[in-house]
Amino acid sequence: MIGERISGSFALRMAFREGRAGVRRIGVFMLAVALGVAALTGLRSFQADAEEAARLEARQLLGGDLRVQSQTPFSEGLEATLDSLAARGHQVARGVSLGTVVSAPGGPGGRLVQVNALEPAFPLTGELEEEPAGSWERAARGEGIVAGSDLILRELGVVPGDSLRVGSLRLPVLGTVRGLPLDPGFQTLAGPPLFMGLEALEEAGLLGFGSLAQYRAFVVAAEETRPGQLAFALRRAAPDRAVSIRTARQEAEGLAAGFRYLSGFLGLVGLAALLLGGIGVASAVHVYVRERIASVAVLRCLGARQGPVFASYLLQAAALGVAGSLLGAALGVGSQFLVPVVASGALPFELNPRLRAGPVLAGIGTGVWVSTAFALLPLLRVREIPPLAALRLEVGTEPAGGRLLRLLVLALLLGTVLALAALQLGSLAGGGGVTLALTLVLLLLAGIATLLVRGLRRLVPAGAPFALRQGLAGLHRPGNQTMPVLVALGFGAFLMGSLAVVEANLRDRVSLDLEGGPAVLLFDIQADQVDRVREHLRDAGVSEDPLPIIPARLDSVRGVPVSELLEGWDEDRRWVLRRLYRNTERGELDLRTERVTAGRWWDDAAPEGGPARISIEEGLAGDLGVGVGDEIVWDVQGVRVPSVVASLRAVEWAAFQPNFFVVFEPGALDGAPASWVALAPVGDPVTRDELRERIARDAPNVSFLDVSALRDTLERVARRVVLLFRSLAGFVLAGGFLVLLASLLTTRYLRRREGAILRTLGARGATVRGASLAEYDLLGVEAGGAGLLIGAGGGTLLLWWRFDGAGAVPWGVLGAVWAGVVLLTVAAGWLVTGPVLRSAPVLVLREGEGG
Amino acid sequence: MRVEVEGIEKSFRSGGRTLRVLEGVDFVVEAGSRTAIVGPSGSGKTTLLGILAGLEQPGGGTVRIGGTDLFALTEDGRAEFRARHLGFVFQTFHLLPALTARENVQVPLELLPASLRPPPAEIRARAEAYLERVGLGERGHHYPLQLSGGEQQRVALARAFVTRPALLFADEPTGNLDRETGARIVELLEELNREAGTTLVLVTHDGGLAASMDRVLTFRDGVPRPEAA
Repeated sequence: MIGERISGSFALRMAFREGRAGVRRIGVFMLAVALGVAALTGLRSFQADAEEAARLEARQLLGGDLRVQSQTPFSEGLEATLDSLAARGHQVARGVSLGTVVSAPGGPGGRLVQVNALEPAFPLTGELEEEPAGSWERAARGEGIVAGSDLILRELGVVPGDSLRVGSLRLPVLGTVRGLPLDPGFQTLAGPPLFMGLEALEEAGLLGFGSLAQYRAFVVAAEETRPGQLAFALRRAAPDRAVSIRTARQEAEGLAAGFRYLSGFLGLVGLAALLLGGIGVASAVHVYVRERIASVAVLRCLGARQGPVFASYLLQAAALGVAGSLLGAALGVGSQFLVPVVASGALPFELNPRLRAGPVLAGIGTGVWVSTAFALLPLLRVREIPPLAALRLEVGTEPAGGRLLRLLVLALLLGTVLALAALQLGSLAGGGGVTLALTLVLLLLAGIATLLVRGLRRLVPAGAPFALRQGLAGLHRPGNQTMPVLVALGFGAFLMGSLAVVEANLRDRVSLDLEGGPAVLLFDIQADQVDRVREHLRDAGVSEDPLPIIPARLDSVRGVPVSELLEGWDEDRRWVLRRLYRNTERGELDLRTERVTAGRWWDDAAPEGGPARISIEEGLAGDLGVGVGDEIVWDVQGVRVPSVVASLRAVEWAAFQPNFFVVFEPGALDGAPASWVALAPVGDPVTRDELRERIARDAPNVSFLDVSALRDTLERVARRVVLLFRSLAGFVLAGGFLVLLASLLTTRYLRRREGAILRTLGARGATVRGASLAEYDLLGVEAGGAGLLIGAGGGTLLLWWRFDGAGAVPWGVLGAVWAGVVLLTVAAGWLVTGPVLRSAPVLVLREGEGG
Repeated sequence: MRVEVEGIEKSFRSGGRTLRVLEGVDFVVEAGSRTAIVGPSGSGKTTLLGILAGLEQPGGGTVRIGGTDLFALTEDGRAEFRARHLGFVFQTFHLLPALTARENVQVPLELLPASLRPPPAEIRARAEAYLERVGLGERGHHYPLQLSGGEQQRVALARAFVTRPALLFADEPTGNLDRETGARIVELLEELNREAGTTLVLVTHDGGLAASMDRVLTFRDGVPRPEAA
C-alpha cells in the first residue's frame, strides 16, 4: 500500500515537473481538441435551448392546445364536432394556409410564399406583437395583409402602404405581426409567411379544387379539460388518417425530435473535428515521448518502476486534455449565445440561451476522454524505454508485452469512435457506418499521402532546384508530423471536395433554365378554366396542354385493404399508404423525363369494362410491393376506382417538368374532380407579361409562377443548406489548419536550427526561405490533392447511391479549393516559421557552447 | 588561405550589464597552418569562431580571409563566401535530420554557385567517395538518427571536406565523443587536412589535440595569448 502511495504521488509530482517545462510546447495541439469540444458543447447546448423553446412556445406555435389539419375541406361530421366543442366553452377558430405566388403590381415576377388566412379570433394563445398596433385586426377583417417579418417585405420590395396581388385581390400591406400560428418547417426553409383574413382568401379565389391548401382548425381547451380528451373526440369524428390532429405536446416533441436529428447530424462534424484533434494529440505525444527518452531512462536508472513513469506521462496528456476541453467548452457556450443573433428570423421561435451543466460536462468529458485515449498509443512507448537508454540512446526499446497491449489500445480507440458516433446519432448501426467511413477515409488519406511523399522523393530528379529537394526532405524531418498534418488537412479538403461534387450536380439537375428560355408554371386551373387557359397558351405560342391532377388515396393494394396493410407496416412506411396522391392521365409517355422499365405503355384504346390501366413509378411500386399485372383500387373523392398496373416507369424527378407517381390511361378518370397544371416555356418577357395579364383577368385564382420566382425560393433553400454544409466542412478544415499550426509551432526550433545549419554551410537567405516555402507548398498540394480526390470519389459515390446516377466532377471548383488549401498552408507556414528562419546562423555554434 | 584578424571586439548585454567577451583581438593565421584556440569556458572562443566564419557580426574590427574583408560583404555575400571557401565541423555534428548521410554530404556542393556547382551525378559520386573515405561507404542511405555519435561526426567530416575548402573551422570536434572515437576522428581530420592542404582553425578543450597543432592561441579575459605549440 505504502509503495503504491509513493508511486502515485511520484507520478503526480513528475507529471507536474515535466509538464511545466515541456508540455506547454505541445499544448497548442489542444486547440484542435478545443475546436471539437466547442462544436459538441455548442450544438448540445443549442439543442437543449431549442427543445426548451419548442416546449414553452409549442402552444403558440401550434396556435392552440390542438390543431386539426387536412388537405381537403373538413367533413360535415368534423365541422359539427368542432362546433359542438365551441358550444361547450372551448375556443375554436379556423384557418387555411397555402403556398401561392404573390407579387407587387409592377414588380418582378412574384414570389412563392406561405399565406395564412385566419379568423379574427386569433391569436387564441399568447401575445400578439404587431407593428403598427391594430394591423392584424384590420387584416383579419379583410382590409389588407400583414407579414410575419420585415424580411419578406424587403424581398418583395414593398413597404407598409404598398399593395400586393394575392390571387384576384390587390391588398394593401398593413404592417408586420408576430405571434400568429404558422408552419415552422416552411418558415425555416423558405422564409416568413403572410397573414390575411379567412374571408378575403376565399374572395381571392385561391381555394379552388386541388389547390395546395391546408385546412385548419385550432382549439384551446376550456379549463380542466385535457387536450388529449378533445383530440380523442375529434379523432372519432375524423377517422380518416388524412386528417391530422396534433396536440401542442406532440408539436413540441416533433420539433424537439427535429432539432435532435439536426444537432445529431451536425454534431458528427464536431466529432470529426475532435477526432482530428485526437490525431494531433497522438502525434504531439509521439514527438514528446521521443524527446523524453533520456529522461525516462534516467528515471528508470534511478529506480523508478515502469508503472509510475507511464502514469506520470499519462497524467500530463490528460491534463492537456482537460485544458483543451475547458477552453473548448467555454468557446462552445460562447457560440451558444451567438446562435440567436445569427439565426434570427430562420427559427420559428425565440431562443433564450442559458448555461447548461449537462452539455458542458458532456463536452469536457468527451474531450478529455478522446485526448487521453489517443495519447495512449504513443505513450505505450514510455513503458518500453529501458534504463540502458540513459547510457546508449541507440539500444532501442524493449518490448513490454507490446503487441497485445497495442492491439488493446487500438480496439479502445475504435470503440471510442464507435461509441461517440453512435451516441451522437442515437443508433449503433449509424455509428458503425460513420466509424467505418471515417476509418476508411483516414486510411485512404494516410495511404495516398504516404505514396505521394515517398513517390515524389523518388521522382524529383537530383538536378531539381535545391530548395525544392530540401523542402521535400523537410517532409521527412523527424518529429515533423507530416502524416497527421496531411491527414488532418486532407480530411477537411475531403469534406469540401465531396460537397462540391454533390452541390454542382444537384444544382445542374435542379437547373430551371429550360430550353427555349424561362418558363412559367400555372397551377390550380379549374375545370371550367382549362379551355380558356389553353387558348391563352396557344396565343403565347405554347403547344403543351394543361395536365389534369386528380387527387386520390389508396383503397386497397393487391386486394388487401389499406386499413389492414397499415397494421403490418412500420410507422416510417405508413405514409406511402396514407398520403394523398396527385395522379394524372395521359396518352403519351413524356420522353424528356421518364422511360418504361417494365410492362408496356398503352398505345391502344382502353379495353371495355376492365379496370383502368395505370403506369406507376418504379420506386413507389417497390414501396407498395406491386408489379405489372397487380391490382390497385383508388379512392377518388369517395369513389372506388379499380386499376391494374400496366407498366413501371423510371422518372427523373429533378427535371423541371410535371412528374407523377401514377399515370392513368386517358379517359379512365373522366368526370373525376380535378384541377389542371401547365408548364409553359415562354421566353419573351413581353409575351410572358401579356399571358400573365390575360390569366389574371380570366382566371384570377390560377397561380402564375414565373420560374425565376420559384428558382429564388428553391435557391434560398439550397443556399441555406449549402451554406450550412460549407460552414461545417470549413469548420473541419479549420481543425486541420490548427493541427498544422500546432505542428509548425512544435517544429519551429528544429526549423530554425536547420536554417542556421544551411546558412552556415553557405545557403543564401532566399534558398533557406525557398526550401521552407517548397515544404509548405508540397504539404498543401499533397493534403489538398489527396483530400479533394477522395472527396470527389466520395461525392460521386454518394450521387450514384442516393441520387440515382453518376455525376460530373466540377474540376474547376475543386481546383480553386485546392489552390485555396495550398495558399492557406503556405501562408500559415510562413506566418509561424518565417520569422525564425531569419535568425542568425551563429545559433549552430551556441548549441554546443564551449566558450 | 590566410586569416587576418584585427581589433575584433564583441560585447553582450546580459542582466542589464554589458559583458565584454572579446577586447581588441589581433592575430594572423597563415595559409595551410593548423591553429588551436583554447581557453576556459566563457573565455570567448566560440564567439571568436562565429566571427571568423562570418556567422556573427563583431562590435568592431575586421576579419580578412584570403584578402577578403568578411564584414564588407552582405549577409548573402558571406553565405556565398562560406559555400565557396569554408568548411565546418561542430561539436554536436549538426547533421540535417531529414537528410540521409549521403544527402548531408551533398549539401555544400549543391549550395555552390551554379558556375562552380558540379553536375548532379558528380555531386553524388563525390559525396559517396568522401563517405567511403571516412569509412561509411555502406551507410550513405542511413539517417542521422540511425548513426552513432562517432559515425555522425565522420559524416560531418565528409561534409566539411567535400568542397575541398581552403579554410576549415572545427568547434570542439571531439567534445561529444569518447576518447577512442575522438582519437579516430582527430586522425581522420588530420589526414583529410593534409590531403587537401586546408588551413585549420580549431576550438578545443582537449590539451592533447591542441598540442598536435602548429600553433595554440590561449584565450583569457577576451584576449589571446599566443604561445608556441
